Amino acid sequence: MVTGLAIALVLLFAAGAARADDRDVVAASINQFIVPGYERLAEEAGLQSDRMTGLCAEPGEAALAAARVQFSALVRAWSQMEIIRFGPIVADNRLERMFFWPDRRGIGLRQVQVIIAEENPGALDAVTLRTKSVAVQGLGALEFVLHGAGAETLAGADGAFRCAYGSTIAGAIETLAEGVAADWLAPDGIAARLVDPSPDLVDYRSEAEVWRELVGVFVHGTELVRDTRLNPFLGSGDDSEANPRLAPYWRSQLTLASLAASMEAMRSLFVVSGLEEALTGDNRFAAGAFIFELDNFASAIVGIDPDLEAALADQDMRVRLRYLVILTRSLQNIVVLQIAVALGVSAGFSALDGD
Amino acid sequence: MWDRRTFMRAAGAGFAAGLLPAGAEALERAEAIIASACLKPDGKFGVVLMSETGRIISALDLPDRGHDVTQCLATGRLVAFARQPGTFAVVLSRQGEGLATIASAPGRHFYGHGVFSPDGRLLYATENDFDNAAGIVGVYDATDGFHRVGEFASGGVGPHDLLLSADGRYLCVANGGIQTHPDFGRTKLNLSSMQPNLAWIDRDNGTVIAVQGLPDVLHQLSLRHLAAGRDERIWVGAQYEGPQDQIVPLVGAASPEDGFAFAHLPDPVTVQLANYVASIAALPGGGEIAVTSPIGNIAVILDETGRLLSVKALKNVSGVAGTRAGFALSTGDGVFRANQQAAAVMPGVEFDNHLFLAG
Repeated sequence: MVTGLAIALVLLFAAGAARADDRDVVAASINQFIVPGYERLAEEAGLQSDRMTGLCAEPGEAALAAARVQFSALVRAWSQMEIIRFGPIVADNRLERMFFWPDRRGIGLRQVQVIIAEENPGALDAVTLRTKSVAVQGLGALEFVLHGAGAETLAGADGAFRCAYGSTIAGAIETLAEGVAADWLAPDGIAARLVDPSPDLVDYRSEAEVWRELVGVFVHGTELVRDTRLNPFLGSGDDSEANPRLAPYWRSQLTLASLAASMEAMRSLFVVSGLEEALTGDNRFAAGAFIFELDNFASAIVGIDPDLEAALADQDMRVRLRYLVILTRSLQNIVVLQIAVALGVSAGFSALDGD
Repeated sequence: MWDRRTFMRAAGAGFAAGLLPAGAEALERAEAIIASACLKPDGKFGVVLMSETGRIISALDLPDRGHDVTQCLATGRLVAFARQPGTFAVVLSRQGEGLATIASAPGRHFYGHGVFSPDGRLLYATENDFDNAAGIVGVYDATDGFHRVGEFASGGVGPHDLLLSADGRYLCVANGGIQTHPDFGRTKLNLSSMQPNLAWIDRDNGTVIAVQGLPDVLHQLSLRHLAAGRDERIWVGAQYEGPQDQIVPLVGAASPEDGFAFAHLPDPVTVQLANYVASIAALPGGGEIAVTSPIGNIAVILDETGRLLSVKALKNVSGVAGTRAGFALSTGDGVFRANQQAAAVMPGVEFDNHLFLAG
C-alpha cells in the first residue's frame, strides 16, 4: 500500500517562485483529494478482487450478493476520482480501460458477451486481457459480469468462466489504480511538477497552467456529468425520447449513486483544496454560489428511484432529473464566468475549450 | 484578390454612407479584410469583419458560436461556419450583411471549416455523419441558394479543416480522428483508438487519392488545421490528445506526392506550444508559416524549410492570418495585433480560434 509520506516531504521542501497560498491549494488538492482518492480506489478494487475470488471458490447467493455490494463501493470510489482527467490516469489509455463510456454503439457490451459466450481463455489472464479492447477490462465489463443477462449463473457452477473473468477484471482494476496512485506519489512525478511549475518542464511551465488544470476539473467535470451521463438517457427533447438503457451503470442501478459521487467529489476538492478560501472579496459570492448549486444537486438527486425505468415513469422524478441537467449548466457557468476569471485563469474560450 | 476599389464599387455609396464614421474610415483604409468569429460585448456570438489593422468594419450576429470563415473569390461572399457540433453556416456579403443561412443536412453537423471551389461555384464543408461515425465533405451549390448537391467521404473520422490543393483539383482534408456524437456534446469518444490522417480527395468524383496517416506512437495526434504554403505543400497544425508530459511534433507539411513530414522545431519551442496548435497560417506570398497556442500564449513563426524564425509572446493568442504586412494575431481577450503594430484592444470582444484573410 502506498502512503502519502513521500509526497508530503516533496511538498515540504519544495522551493520556487509560487506564492505560498497558491502552492497550498495545489498541495492540498493532491494530498487531501487526489492521492487518498486513488488509494481508496485501489483498496475498493482489492476488496472487489477478494469478493470475486471468494465467489469463484464457493459460488452461492450470499457470495454473489457480497460481490455486488462491493461493486457499488467500487463504482462510487471511481466516480469520485473520474473528475480528474489529467496526469497518470490519461496515460496508457487508463481512463478508457477503467471505464469505457460512453459506448454509443454498444461495441464494448457485444465484446464482453462474446468473451463470456465463447469462454475465451485469453480474458482470464491479466496480461492478455490488457491487450484486448479497452471496453472489456473495466467497470463496464465487470458490471455486465455481475448484473448482465446470465449473471445469476454466478451463484452456481455454471458461472465458473464468467466468475473467473470478473475476477481477472477486478485484479486489473486494482493494478491500474495502484499504478495511478504510485505515479502521483513518485518523488519527481506530476505532484512535484504541479507544486513547482517551471519553464523547463514539459507539462506545467507556469502557475497559470496549473490553475488552468485545477479549474478545468470543475469545468469539465460538470460537462462530463451533463453531456455523457445525464443527457444521453434523458434525451434532449420530450420525455418520450428518454431511454434508461443509455445511462451508465443502469444494470446495477448505480447511475444516480455514481452521479452523486462525482458531484460530491467536486465539492470535496473545492473545499479541501482551499479554493473556496482563495476566492476573496466579491468573489466569495462565486464560491458560495458554486457550493449552493452543488448542494441543490445533492438534495435533488436524493429520493429519485435508482431504477431509472421507474424514475422516468414518474412525473416528479423526471422533473428532478431534468433539474439536475440545469444545475450542471449553472455550475459550469459559475466556474467559467466567475471562478476562473477571479483566479486569473484565462476563461478564454479558445484556451479552456478549444477546437 | 478583391481590392478596395472593386469593393467600393460593389458595395455602393449607400453602404459607405451608412457606416459610422469610424467604420467608414476603416473601410476607406482597408486593403483586405479580416474576418473572425467572436463573442461580442453584448454577450452574443457573431462574426466581425475588420481592416488589416484591426478596425472593425461590421459585426453580424450568429445563431450560436461560430468557428472559421471562408470566401468565394468569384463573388466576394463569405461563409461563417458554426463551431462543431453546430448546424448552421451563415453567408454574408463582403460588407458584413447576412445573406442566407445554410442548415446542415439531417444526420449531419458542421465541423466549422469550409472552402469554395476555385471558380466559386461549389462550397465544400467538413461534416459529421454522426450515427455512422464517418467524416463527410458536404457539397453546396453556391450559384443556387447554397443547396446541398452531394457529399463524399472525407477519408477518415472527425474531419476538421480543409483546403484546395495548389492546382485546385484536390481537397486536402485534415481528418482529426476524433469521434464525437451530438448526443454526447463535444465529448471525445475514441481517444484510445483514434487514427488521424490527411486525405487528398479528387473534387470531381470524391475519390480519395492519397491518405497520409501517422505512426502508431502518434495515433493521438489530432491533425486539425491547414495552411497553403509554397511548392504545392500544405502545412498542418496538430493537437495532442495523449499524456501532456510527452513532447510530440505539432507542425508538419504534406503534398500528395511527397507525403507528410514534421517540421523539426527545437524542443523548448514545441513544449511552449503546450501540445495545442489552435491555428496555422501562411503569408500570402508564401515563405513563412505561423502557428499559435493560447495555452502556451505564443505564436511561432517558421520558414518553409521548418526553421524557426521567431517566437512572439501574446496572452491567449489563437487567431492568425497572413497579410501582406505580415502575420496578424488575435486573442480570446479581444486583442488584435497587426504585424509590427501596437496591439488594439477591443473591450468585451473575445476572438474565437481563427482569423480569415478575405480578398
